Amino acid sequence: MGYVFMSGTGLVSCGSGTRLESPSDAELLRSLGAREPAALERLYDRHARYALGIASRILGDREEAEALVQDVFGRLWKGQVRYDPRRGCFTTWLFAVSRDGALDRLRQRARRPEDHPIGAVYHLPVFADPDVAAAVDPRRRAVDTALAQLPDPERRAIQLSFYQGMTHSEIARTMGEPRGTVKRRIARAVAELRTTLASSGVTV
Amino acid sequence: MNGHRELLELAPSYPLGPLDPNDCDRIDAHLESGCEECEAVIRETGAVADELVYGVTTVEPSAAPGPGWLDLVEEGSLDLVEENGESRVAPPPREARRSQWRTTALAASVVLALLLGIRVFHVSRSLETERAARVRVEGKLAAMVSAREQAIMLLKVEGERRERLDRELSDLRTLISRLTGEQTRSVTLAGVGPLPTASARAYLDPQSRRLVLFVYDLPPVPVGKSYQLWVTAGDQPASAGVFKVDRTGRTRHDALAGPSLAGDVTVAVTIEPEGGSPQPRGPTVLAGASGGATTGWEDSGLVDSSPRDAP
Repeated sequence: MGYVFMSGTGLVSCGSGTRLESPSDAELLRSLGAREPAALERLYDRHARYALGIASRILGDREEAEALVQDVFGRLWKGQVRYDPRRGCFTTWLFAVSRDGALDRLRQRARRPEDHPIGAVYHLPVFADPDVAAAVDPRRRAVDTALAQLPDPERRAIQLSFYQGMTHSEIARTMGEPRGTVKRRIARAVAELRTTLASSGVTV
Repeated sequence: MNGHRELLELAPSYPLGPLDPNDCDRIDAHLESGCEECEAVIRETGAVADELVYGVTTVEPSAAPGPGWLDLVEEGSLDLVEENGESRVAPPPREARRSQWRTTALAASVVLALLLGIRVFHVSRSLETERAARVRVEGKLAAMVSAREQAIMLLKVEGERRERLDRELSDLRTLISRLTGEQTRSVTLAGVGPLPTASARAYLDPQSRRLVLFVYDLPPVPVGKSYQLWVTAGDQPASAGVFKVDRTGRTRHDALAGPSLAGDVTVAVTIEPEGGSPQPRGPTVLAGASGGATTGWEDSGLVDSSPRDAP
């Protein structure tokens, strides 16, 4: 998967939450392109917690997750990985890169990868009480509510894709369905999530 | 726009998770060709993905990478590049090392706290066990004390009962001795006036001057009244006490007779004011005599005297 660093292109359209902070993510990314270390620190402070959340959940090791996320930022600094705003906000990009990196680490850790199906990561420990997190974060609550309203197969497809980083082929094997069905389930789930999140006041 | 329909179906997956390599390449090429419809779908899905990020439980970083860390990155002291196709994780930066030291110290503290916690747990459990044992012993002691008190109470009751029985036994022995004394005589009393069915028998012991009267079928005395026993050994009757009967009209009355009981004796019962009278004033209800000597009641014709009968 090749990411293209497109800082300053104006394609970043994130418009809620921390994305409205000043300086904006787009400005920080431009500063990062100009080799300003403070920009990296600001981006790390602003976005690392979500990447750490998914990496810790997958790896089951906070220190390893933290090293992994720092590695992603180091690669970003050195231009070895690039942010592609077409795939969403910087947070989402960082989330996806950290998720995929954690899954790679998990596969490397396994003596025999086939003994550690990706589906197992869904049961790895988390580092905070999700009920408490949901209680204090209205956006988390909105997402949980929207996911809960999906039909079971659609919700499962989204979970396997977004939170567990599975490709369509892996999801198809896990769910025992053709790839075409998986694609349609994800498309339907995205449409329903848009509607539900919009009705709960989230701009999507 | 070759395969546009198929790629449009694939587009919603693009911002969510990793695509199969072939799909990823195809959609990247399709986007590069400038397909606005697919790009719009991807942008919309990207907005959903932006929100789904908030569905994960966040973990706060222990420290932000500082300038020193970037120096190490720039100097190449941190190996952040891929080697042999594997992603090597960077060693933690200085700040992170401090963080590691803090983490180690924290871990040691946690272990110490855990050990202390385990110790506290064991001590607490021991205390709890001892407390429970103490409660059990106290419960047994309380039960034993209660049983002891009940036993003492029973002993006291039994003691009183025994004393009462001893007294009754003593009285009975006295009675038997009086009734079976060598000089003991009996006098039969018959009902007089309105109570002809009433009867009584008096046993007289001249030696001790004591008298025992057994009464039968005498109705309970009216309120404010008493039956009074009289013994006449000469001219004047002497009171031998007052008594009442039970619901069956029976009673036993022991009395010390005033006059000597060695000679002829007349025995009678009258109804007197409660507590008795110095002299008989009320109606006579029972009367009898020994040895034919009757004084005061002989004219009534109801006095009967007979030799002693053994009880």
